[in-house]
Amino acid sequence: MVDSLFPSTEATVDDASPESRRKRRRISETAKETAESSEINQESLKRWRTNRVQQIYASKLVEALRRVRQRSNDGGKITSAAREIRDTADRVLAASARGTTRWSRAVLATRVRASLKKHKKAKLTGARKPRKDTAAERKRSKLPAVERKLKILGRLVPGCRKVTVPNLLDEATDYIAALEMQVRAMESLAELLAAAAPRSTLTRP
Amino acid sequence: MDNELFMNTELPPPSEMAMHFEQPSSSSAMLNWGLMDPNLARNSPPQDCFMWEKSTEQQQSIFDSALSSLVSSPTPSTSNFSGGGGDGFIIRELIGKLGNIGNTSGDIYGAPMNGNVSRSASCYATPMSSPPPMMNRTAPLTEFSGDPGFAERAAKFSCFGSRSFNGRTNSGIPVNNGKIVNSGKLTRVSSTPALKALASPEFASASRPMIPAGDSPPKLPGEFSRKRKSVSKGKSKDNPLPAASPSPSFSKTAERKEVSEEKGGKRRREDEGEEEEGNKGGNDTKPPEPPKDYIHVRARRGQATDSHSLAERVRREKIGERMKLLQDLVPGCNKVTGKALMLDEIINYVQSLQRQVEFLSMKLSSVNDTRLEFNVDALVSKDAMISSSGSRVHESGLQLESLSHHNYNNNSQLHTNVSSNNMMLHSPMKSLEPSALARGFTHLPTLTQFTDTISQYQMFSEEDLQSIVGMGVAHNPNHESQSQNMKIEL
Repeated sequence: MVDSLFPSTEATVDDASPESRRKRRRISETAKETAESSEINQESLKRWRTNRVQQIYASKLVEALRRVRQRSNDGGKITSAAREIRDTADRVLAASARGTTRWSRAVLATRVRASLKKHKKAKLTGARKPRKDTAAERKRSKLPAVERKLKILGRLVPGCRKVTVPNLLDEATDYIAALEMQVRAMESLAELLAAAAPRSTLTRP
Repeated sequence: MDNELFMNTELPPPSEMAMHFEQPSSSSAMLNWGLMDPNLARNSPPQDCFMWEKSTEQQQSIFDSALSSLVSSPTPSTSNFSGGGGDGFIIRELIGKLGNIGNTSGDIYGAPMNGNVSRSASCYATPMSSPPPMMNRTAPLTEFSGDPGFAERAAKFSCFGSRSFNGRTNSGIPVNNGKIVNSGKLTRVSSTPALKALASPEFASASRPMIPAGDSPPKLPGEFSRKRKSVSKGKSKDNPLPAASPSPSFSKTAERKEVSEEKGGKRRREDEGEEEEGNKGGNDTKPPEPPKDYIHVRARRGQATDSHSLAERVRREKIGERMKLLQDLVPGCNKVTGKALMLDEIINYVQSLQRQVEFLSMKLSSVNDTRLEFNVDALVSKDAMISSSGSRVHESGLQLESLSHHNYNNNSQLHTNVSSNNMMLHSPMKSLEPSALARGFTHLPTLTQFTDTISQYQMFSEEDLQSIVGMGVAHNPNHESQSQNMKIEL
């Protein structure tokens, strides 16, 4: 069909377009993306459900967890593992995406940035100013409710704050599919670990 | 330039050509070729067109040589193709030859006809496969996209030529273009004899200075560009008439793509508006709600044909499509209608997923601390076995064997037992795989599977394993209560 005829060109265009080329993308967007959007979305939905992807993620997750545990054991700190594990899991998830989506790139990039910021002790919380008159503001900005919600969604999906609406929805689709896979993988992993480690729990006081 | 364009037509041959089918500037060229066929030999029209399109003298000479070589052996080429569309193949081979020109200017003479033919034939025989005989022309490809007229002409020529050949029954080969594109083109062509008539006189005159007139090309393209635009407008109007569904989308994509690249976003929309008006005028026979393709934007009856509103509608459609996909993805969104509510649901779902991930990471951290490393290996193997195919099983088995060397104080025996069990379990796991795959990640019957497989094998450590399983089951409630508490906290 038409969709199948624009596969590689479309994909490359979508993947390689940085912010500066967004305008050109929009221009040629209608011709290509509308044909490709459904295909991309369906393909993204499917790709996070394949067993192969799950295997890859599970194995990578296990490896990363092992490394985290080793590092924590060496360092002596054990209790801070939750966030580390979550970050590792997110990173592994983003790595599984192979850089084709914006949020995956943002997740992988924030880690680098976070490690840099840790050294520089940059203030991360100073950027957000507290909004006191949220009620009044809400009334003021009540009209574009959909837009507000889209902004919230953009904040939820990593790296998608200043993204166009259709792209945001695309990213959200992929992100949701990936998160679902992540949840499933971590659940099964946790269950397996819990099942296989009863002795250690018993031996521990 | 145009040469590269033409050469690049081979690269993504059918897709690109399909996309550029309805580009306004090329329709006339296509008609030229089709019309010239009755007048001239089969291979001469391409020469003419190439002459016209070429801008550089040097390349002209190369083209001349290539075309002459092609012309010199038309019959072998035709004989090479047994199936239908042999004439189209000639043209493709010509295109292939031109593609060769891009690669090595000197290789034209040396390039064997059969090689070209086969390559071009293969290019067109496998439209979906990425075409690779000339992969090193990535730079020209961009130019090609920038000036698609040539490609479109080439594309149109291939099918148009076959069409015209069919009409003439010159070669006697039935035109059998199995591609949708060609058939679409054929229908369009058949419905536009007027265009042919329009184009015939100019081409009849143009066909006279056939061969290597380097001076004629510069003049002609100017005329042709003008004529092309008018003809293209006519052609675009004719596009919706034939009911071939892919063709309008092709045409629209081609039009839109070309126009956008030629002019700019704004003007593209205006052109769309113009074309839409033209289409609307010619669409009285169509149903009042024309079928909307993905790309096709058509002004419905009674709706504004303003370019802005058209663009707005396209935008809304895109967003609507994505919202539908999200609706399928997010559970419980089916009952909700309206973008705001759906977005609410989506946001809630994403937040809940993120919270779940956080909670699971906490759980994993606790389990990580409390268990020893061998479990990870065993888990890797188990996880792999449960959710993997046979190959993975072997990998995990190997992994287990390698890891079995790790002996931990408390669990060395258990570890070896587990590893041996796992290794033993490989064969039955294969048999269980279909069910395992089905269940692996959806819910977690891993314990039951483990016990089943264990029960199959009366291992000496069975009691140990059962104790493990029992303790695991016993501990699960603890974990689950903790998890529930944590969930409540969250």
